[in-house]
Amino acid sequence: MKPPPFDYYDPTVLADALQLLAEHGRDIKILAGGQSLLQLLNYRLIRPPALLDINRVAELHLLEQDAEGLKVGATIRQSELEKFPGLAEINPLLAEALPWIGHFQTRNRGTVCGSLANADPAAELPAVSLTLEARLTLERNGGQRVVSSRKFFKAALTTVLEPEEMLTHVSFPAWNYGDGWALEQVARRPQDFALVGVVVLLTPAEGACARARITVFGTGYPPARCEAAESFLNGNAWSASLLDEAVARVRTETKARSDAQATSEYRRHVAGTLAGRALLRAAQRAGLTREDRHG
Amino acid sequence: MDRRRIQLTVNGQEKQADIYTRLTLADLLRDKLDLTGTHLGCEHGFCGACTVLLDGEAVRSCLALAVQANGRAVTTVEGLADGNHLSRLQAAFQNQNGLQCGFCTPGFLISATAFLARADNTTEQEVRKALSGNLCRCTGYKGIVQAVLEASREEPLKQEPSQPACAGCIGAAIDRSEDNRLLQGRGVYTADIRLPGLAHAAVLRTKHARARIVRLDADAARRAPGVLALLTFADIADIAKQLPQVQPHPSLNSRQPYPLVRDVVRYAGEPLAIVVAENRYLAEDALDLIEAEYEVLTAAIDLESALRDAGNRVHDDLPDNIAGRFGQEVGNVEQALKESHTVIKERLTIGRVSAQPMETRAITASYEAGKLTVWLTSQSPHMTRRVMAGQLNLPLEDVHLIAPDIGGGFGPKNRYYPEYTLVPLLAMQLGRPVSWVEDRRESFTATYHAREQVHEVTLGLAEDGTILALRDHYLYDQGAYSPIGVVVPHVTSVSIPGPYRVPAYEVECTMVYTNKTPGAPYRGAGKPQAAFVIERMLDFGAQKLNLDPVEIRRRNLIKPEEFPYHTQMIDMDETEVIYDSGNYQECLARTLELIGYNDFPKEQAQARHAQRLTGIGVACYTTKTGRGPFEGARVRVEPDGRVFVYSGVSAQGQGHQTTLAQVCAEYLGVRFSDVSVKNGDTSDIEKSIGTYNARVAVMAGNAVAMAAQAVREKAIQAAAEIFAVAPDALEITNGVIRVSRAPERNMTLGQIAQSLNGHSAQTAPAGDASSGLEETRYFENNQPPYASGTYAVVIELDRQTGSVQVLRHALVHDCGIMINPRIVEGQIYGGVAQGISETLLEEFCYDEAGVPLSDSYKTYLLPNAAMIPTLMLDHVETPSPFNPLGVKGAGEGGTVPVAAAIVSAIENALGGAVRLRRRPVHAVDLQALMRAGESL
Repeated sequence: MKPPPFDYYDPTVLADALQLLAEHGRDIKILAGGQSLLQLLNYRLIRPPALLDINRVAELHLLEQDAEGLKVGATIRQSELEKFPGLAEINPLLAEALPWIGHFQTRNRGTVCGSLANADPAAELPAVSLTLEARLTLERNGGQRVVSSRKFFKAALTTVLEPEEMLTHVSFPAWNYGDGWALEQVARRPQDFALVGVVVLLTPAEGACARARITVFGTGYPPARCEAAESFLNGNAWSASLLDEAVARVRTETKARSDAQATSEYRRHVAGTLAGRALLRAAQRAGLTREDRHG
Repeated sequence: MDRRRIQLTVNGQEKQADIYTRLTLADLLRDKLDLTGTHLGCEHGFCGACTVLLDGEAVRSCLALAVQANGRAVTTVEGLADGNHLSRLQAAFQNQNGLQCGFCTPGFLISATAFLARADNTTEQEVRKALSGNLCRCTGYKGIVQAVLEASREEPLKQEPSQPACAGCIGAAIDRSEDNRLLQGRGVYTADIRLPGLAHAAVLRTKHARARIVRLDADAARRAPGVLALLTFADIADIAKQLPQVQPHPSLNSRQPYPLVRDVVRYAGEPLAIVVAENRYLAEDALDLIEAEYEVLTAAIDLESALRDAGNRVHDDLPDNIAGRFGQEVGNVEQALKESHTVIKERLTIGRVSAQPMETRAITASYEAGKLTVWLTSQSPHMTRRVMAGQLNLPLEDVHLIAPDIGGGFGPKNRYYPEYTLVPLLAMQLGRPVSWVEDRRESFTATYHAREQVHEVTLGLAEDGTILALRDHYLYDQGAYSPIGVVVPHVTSVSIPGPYRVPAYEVECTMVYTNKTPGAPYRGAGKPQAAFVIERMLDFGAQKLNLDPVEIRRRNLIKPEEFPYHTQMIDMDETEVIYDSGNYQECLARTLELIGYNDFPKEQAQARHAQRLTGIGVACYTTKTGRGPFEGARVRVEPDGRVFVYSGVSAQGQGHQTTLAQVCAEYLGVRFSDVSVKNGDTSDIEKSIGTYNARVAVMAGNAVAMAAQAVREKAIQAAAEIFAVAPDALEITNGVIRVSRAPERNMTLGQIAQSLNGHSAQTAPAGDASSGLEETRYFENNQPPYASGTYAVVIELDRQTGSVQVLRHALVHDCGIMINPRIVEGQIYGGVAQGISETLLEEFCYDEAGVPLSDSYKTYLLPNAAMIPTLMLDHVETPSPFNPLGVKGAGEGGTVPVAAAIVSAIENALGGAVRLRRRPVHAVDLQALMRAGESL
């Protein structure tokens, strides 16, 4: 299980990196944290002629917080964001989600942007970015575009990134204080890949749920927002029956695949269960309810 | 290909290296900088054995490129100790029994070092989470977690216990001699052997389950850069022999493969070609260039279809897929069933698993001056050597086999595999040493599997729950070949009655060939299946008769006064199965106390009130240990007083260098610290059987006792002549032999050895001079001892997701006299963890065409520290009357009862509303079951 041969480039400025992408197109793969890429290389499941190691590009090592929100550059490790001072106040959902990713040893290498660009259906960060409605900046030689997380994920392991483009940073909008949040997932083993998971963000207003965001992930498809359940909740006063109906809608609208680990029926049903648990926790954090259990 | 010169700091030292840019950081450390303490367990970032610190942060060195470490600082396990002084964490690992085979240990030490640097006042839960990215297959995590907790506290570490004097050495819970070396990354595993000119092999394996090879074109591969040799069947046709059937049996239709596929592929993973190149990277490049064309045939995959449908035959020359059939009857089952109050018929299935030791199989072979030297991850060096010599047409004397440090075994490393012929053959042909290390992906199909069985069981009970009759007709999935004959299914056939009185018993086993990886023993070897069958049936019986599950067991357990208990069953070697000794009731009673059985209904009701489903399960077991026929030991005293023990049995983490030294110290009368054990080297002793079936303490332990006793008698004889006293006037304590009534008249055993060794100024040495102060003894025994015990578990079941969590568990067992209780406990913790794992996580599955569905630790899950809570463990010591030490094996028992108890606990959580007839049980299946009966 050794990587196949490849040409190796490790430029130090972004312009050179983008130039290399433009020249090589599909024949070059970006190496950021490498926690998925090196697995694929060791298994020889991919054989890219060249690797573009972006770790030495100083411009990409960017982690900034301002009134607009949190800006995370392409080489920021998951652990760097996890340890960012005050993250639990700046963005409590990210703070809750990051420790779920892999293990601390892989988070020391794996990058935030790399996880988004890899778009593994079972990964937490794509689901969190979709919930937070993050904006992703894609740069190419002589141009850039900004896409919303809703547009970014196309299919399992597939995004809108063109071969000559690089996800140079992701911007998470500023946290709306008062929002409630939660991430729930089920894995076959603690700290393992999610068989299915749910991310919830609730904006309260005067005892009602002003706006709900519910994202299901781990279904075999890209993470998806549960729009029927969201619109059902939006503007309604919180109640146990409201929650039950939302759960039912999540089960109805979730699309899921079967694989060796779980059936689609299982994933759909448990997506509802987890949505119920996440909604309840988020509602408590948003001050909408004090009730402390839901089956 | 890109080359770079890099510079980095490793363990505080500046290093430079010229590397290819595709070289991983792990291979830089291991192959360029010779720091082999960093181990490769999976090469895809899941096992954590290769974890190192990169600029102080723990990372997987298999998932980083060496070039990325340019200009940075790396710390490996070799950099943790201060000289020879263990770090606080390393010392805590030794104190807490935090390691067995030592293969995963460097990764745990590095991960825990990084964790502790940030954590203060840590909790067990935090430690378990922090360690969940490192896999250990031996310890069940208990010692590791305790070690990290101990290291995290302010208090000074527990002082090393003073080593016991010779008397009392057996039974002392002393530190393992193996640990200091292993904790510093100084273990030498087969992949760590470095020889001048070492070349590296890689194997091409077929992806098809059943296919005829139409064309195999390796020309391009032979010409690839760095390639030294390449073999397909055509290259070895004139010398190739089928692998021998080492354990023949009259009811076996033996079929064994050639080292490389000749014409028909019979399982996915079967080797087609082997290539040797200057390094493993180039060898794998060459494999990519081999072109194979197949005529794909329909494979026999499902066990029962393979039996029914003789159309898809695994072996064309057999009339069907039956690999063997055997059985026996005790009493009159038909009659007893007629007389039964209640008759229960069930069909129970047991899934297939892969043993997955953290070190994969590996072999290094060197051929010089007509002698072949082989380092191999072998559980049975002597047996392997014999087969190897036969395969290679070499005289036995010209083959020297060494089992160095081995990273876990659990059964499959006891077998002979095709690579063990091919790699030495290549070393002989090339005149260069050759190494092959199975990679993790290969390990899933190339190393033999275990467990898969389907049982049709009938149990007849009296009204009070007394067992009257038991009938079991079952199928065993043999896979494509029969590497160990009938052993595993035969063990099942004589283990189903377990610790219970079964007056009428009928068993019949049909072994079935399928196009899957061959089946072989794995920890418990047929007994976990047997325990699952009888324990499930008793649970069903209790339910039907409205008895407490514990009560039906209590009524049927063999009583202490019934030993030795004659089961009337006939074992594989044609002897009767006789249980030597035990106190099954005591084990049961104490387990129930530990788990809190009597108070559980209240606890369960309270949990239910809080919407939580909990359940309790109990399973009793016996397990045959210490299989014969013999094992040997040689004990020698040197003039400087050091004592050496030589034994053929290799160790895979069991601590034999410690326990065998304890036996020698006690029987010879020397200090433990003066005894060194060398094991697993065929040059050290003429004969040996090997390490399996929990047999080392029993067979090698007694052999060491006998040899040490013989040396002692020889020393006394010599001293009696020197001091001119009667032998019984002498005593030996801590290596000194003295006249009991005149203790000033004394000599050390070293001085006696010096005298017995002879020198030219002597007229004649005292006593019997043959071979100096040294004796070899073989312990022959065909009366194996049976260990026993009870396991109980409390689980929580998530009604919605089907997830099962072990909340607490307890085991009380009896392995007779314990040589070293800490080592025994380590075996139990590890065995139980494997039991939990094969109940809740592991199953090796194929699709309909026979393509394996697992080829990584992403798809085949091993348990981590976060899911195995600390086992409550206690011992009952009923000495075995069948061997002088009174010992019974401890290695397998932990695994045997676990699945039965967990499945029972899940049923209990559901209030008996479902019947579980299969293991493993996965959340997805449980959830589907619960949804089918929504009212649960």
